[in-house]
Amino acid sequence: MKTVKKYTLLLIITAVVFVSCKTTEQNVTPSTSGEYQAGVVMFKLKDDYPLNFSVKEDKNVDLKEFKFLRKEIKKFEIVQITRPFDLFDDPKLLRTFKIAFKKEKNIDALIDALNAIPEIEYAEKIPIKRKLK
Amino acid sequence: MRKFILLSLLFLISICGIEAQNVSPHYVDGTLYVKLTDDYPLTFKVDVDNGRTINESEFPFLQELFAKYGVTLIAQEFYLFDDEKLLRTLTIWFSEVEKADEFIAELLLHKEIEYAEKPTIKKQLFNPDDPYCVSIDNINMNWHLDMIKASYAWDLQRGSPDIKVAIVDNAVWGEHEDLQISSDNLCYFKELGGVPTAIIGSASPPSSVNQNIICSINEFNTYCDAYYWSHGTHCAGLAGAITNNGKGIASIGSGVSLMGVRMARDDGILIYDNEGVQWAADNGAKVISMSYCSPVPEQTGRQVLQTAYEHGIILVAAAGNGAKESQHEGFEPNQIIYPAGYPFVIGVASVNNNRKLSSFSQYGADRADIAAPGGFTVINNREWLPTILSTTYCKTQLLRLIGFNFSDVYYDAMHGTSMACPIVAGLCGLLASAYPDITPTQAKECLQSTAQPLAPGSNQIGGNGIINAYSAVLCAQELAGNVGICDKLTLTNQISVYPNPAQDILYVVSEEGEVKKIEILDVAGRCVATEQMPKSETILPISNLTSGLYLLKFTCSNNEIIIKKFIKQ
Repeated sequence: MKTVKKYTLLLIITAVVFVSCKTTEQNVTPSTSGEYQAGVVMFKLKDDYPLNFSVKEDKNVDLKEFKFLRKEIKKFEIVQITRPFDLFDDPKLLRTFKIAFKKEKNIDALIDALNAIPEIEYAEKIPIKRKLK
Repeated sequence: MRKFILLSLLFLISICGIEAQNVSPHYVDGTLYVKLTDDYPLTFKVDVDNGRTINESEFPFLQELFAKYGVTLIAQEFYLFDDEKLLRTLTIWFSEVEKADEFIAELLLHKEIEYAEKPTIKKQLFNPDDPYCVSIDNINMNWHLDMIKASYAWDLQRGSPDIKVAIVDNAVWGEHEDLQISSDNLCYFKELGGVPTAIIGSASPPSSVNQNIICSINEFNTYCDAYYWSHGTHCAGLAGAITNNGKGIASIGSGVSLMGVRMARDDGILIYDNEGVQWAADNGAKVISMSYCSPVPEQTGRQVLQTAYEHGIILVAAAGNGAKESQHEGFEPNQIIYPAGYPFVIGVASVNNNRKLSSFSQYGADRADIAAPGGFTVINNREWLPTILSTTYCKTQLLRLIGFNFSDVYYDAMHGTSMACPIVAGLCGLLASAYPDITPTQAKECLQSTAQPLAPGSNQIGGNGIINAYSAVLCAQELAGNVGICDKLTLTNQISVYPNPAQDILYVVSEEGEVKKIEILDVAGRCVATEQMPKSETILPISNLTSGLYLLKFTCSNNEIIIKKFIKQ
């Protein structure tokens, strides 16, 4: 009986982990809303912000890397920060990040909150492009 | 007989000389045409049996010059219908081949000589064998290449495979028979762990798109999936479809290497534009064609593009199709769109075959810097037929539906500034092939300074008009130092002097900035008047000169010299 209980518990834990992973995966795949991509924004650190943060090979940045974002991570359920652009090691692009977050409807509030952080030069939504035919 | 053999030998040498031109790529080395004035007596003896040669002693006033420049033979080559002007036109062969300009200048000092010039080397215009580079159902499907003088440009430059032109678009079917893009130059993006990641090897539409679907007119008017997904493939063909391969179409930049970058997700939404530009730039693109837009600017996208620009990459974008009605809800017609609206991006408007801006094409400063074909064949003042034919992912839809006898091939017509944009990108590929170090600013200047005017009554753009591929390539060659400005001016007759003879005022018209000094020399070679840094039209007061023959000496900005002659009455 004890063994059955043990296996049931293991099964429940596995299911929870699986569901949580699936949720995360779904939320970092950008959806769209009108002229902008939903659930994602860009922000740029000021030019004098030191380039001593760590970026993983897959372009991910640890959420804990930028302490000044602690409040926003919780409030807007930020799930991922990446640094997508490093073209010619341009120092401005090396300070530009993409945030994926769950509270898609609060995108404008997140932009306002990010723009109020002294270390951030700007935050913006990502426009969707149209082909010209 | 000896002279005949000698003449034959010289002729052979001159033919070989064409192959081995050491001094000028545009003129036959060691040869001049010299025309005697119309009143010069036709009494000199021509040895008709020996190749119409003339003994040097027939022209005693030129003996000194003949010796100085090593004249080896004189002949009266042209005698058609005994025309008196032709009979007075002599061909002179000489050994001091590098001193041709000096020789001409000294010949012109003699009043007996009307003109002296170097014979130009002629080239056959490149005439590709691509079957759709012709009329279909009596409608010219090649007007877009005719209008931009592509054939003339191809004689100068057909593109280098070392120059990469990237098409960042919804998708590009790189395996198309007329594209054959190397798989290393194709990519699409996939979200891996939430990060858009470039997958190299294909830029094709998703496999769910039925490439061989035949859409009905109703389907076409609502949504013909395969036609929608053909946008990028169409653009790629316009920039650099393989030319002279006996298949499909010809394109302006066929010799360059194309890159195809798919920026659309599987649902067709375009979101990987900045990632696509970065990938293209990181992988060697010299030119990036962007036939897409957003009505709002973005700082990140701007920075990605600006970084590419600052590293010498030429960025070309469609100016937008919202001249009359915005394509974006809540935005005004003809509102600036991006990336075309960024100052370092060359924005391209569309023209119809009547040389007017297409009615849909956005216009005005900050929207369009240059124009290129992207519109319609106009019939009875109506924008009637879409005739910009190019490669597609789908089988022919539009041309079939509007009644052309043209179907079941992976080619079709589209229209829009989207189509004008890759034509300019392909041309930029030629400019970079002519001058690999060309900067984006120089490329834009070459396009604009050589542009052809739009037809009267057309909406206007920020730049000068419609691209002129031939002159733009010449401009790039000039930057590369492969052709002298004076060569260009002489070849295209861009210096004109009138009236001639003149009494009080002489007008000189040249391209501004290309001639830095004009001097008037008398027959003794003394400078009697100078005009520094002349404008495009310069007025030279000559009333104080005594009557007689004078020379105009033009010093070009690269220090080459052109001599022209005028008579003061």
